[in-house]
Amino acid sequence: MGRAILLLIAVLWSGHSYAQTAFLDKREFSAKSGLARVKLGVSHSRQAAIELSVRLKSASKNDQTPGATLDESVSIVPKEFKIPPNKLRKVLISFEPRVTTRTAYFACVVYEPPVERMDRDGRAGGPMLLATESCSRFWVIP
Amino acid sequence: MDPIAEGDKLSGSGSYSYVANGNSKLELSAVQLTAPTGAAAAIPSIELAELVANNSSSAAAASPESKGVIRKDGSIVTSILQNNSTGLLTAGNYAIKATATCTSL
Repeated sequence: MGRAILLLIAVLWSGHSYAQTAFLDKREFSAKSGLARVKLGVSHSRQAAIELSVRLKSASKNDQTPGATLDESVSIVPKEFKIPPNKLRKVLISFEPRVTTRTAYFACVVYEPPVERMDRDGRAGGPMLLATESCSRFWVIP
Repeated sequence: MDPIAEGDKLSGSGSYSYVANGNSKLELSAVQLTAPTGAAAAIPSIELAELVANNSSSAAAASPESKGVIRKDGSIVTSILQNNSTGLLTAGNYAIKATATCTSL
């Protein structure tokens, strides 16, 4: 498989196209050495630089859905960073999988935008936040 | 967002664009609602038109797997509905929060 991925979600609140991408060059990693090293490419096409954060997640109830965030024995460099639009940032995720079967994991990038405010006649209102998260699934083989 | 006042409902709208060049899924997390003390019960809702919608505060909702290249543009509609018999929204500060997760499979 060539460059596997893709995935942009773009949420536009004001008519501009805001894409966010997280992609992997490989989809399978060996855990034979005890350490898995995953390189993730991250970019976006919003209008200005934004703060992104990276997480490693296990699978949820099935291997198609990201589950809990993994922190123990996980190194993510850089874990949080500010990135200008249309620039590529490489992120290295290193962790100790300890798997006995082929196991799905997810490399995820999260953007929490400024809140939008909904108001009604000045008597009721408040912020609305829709965060966007882009995840790429990969497999670890024992 | 374009705020809309309508009886006992607080709502906003926007738009999205979703592009994937391979199999993918989109999940909307459980919708977190914060309401003023003493407010009537309310239902929060977020919908990405023709993709996925969620009005649950305890469970996520997911789109079907895209099974290949997908490109969709549509509207986002959010709302907080109190469904009062008086048709009025309890005054105060509300907050609604969710995460849209796109997963490349």
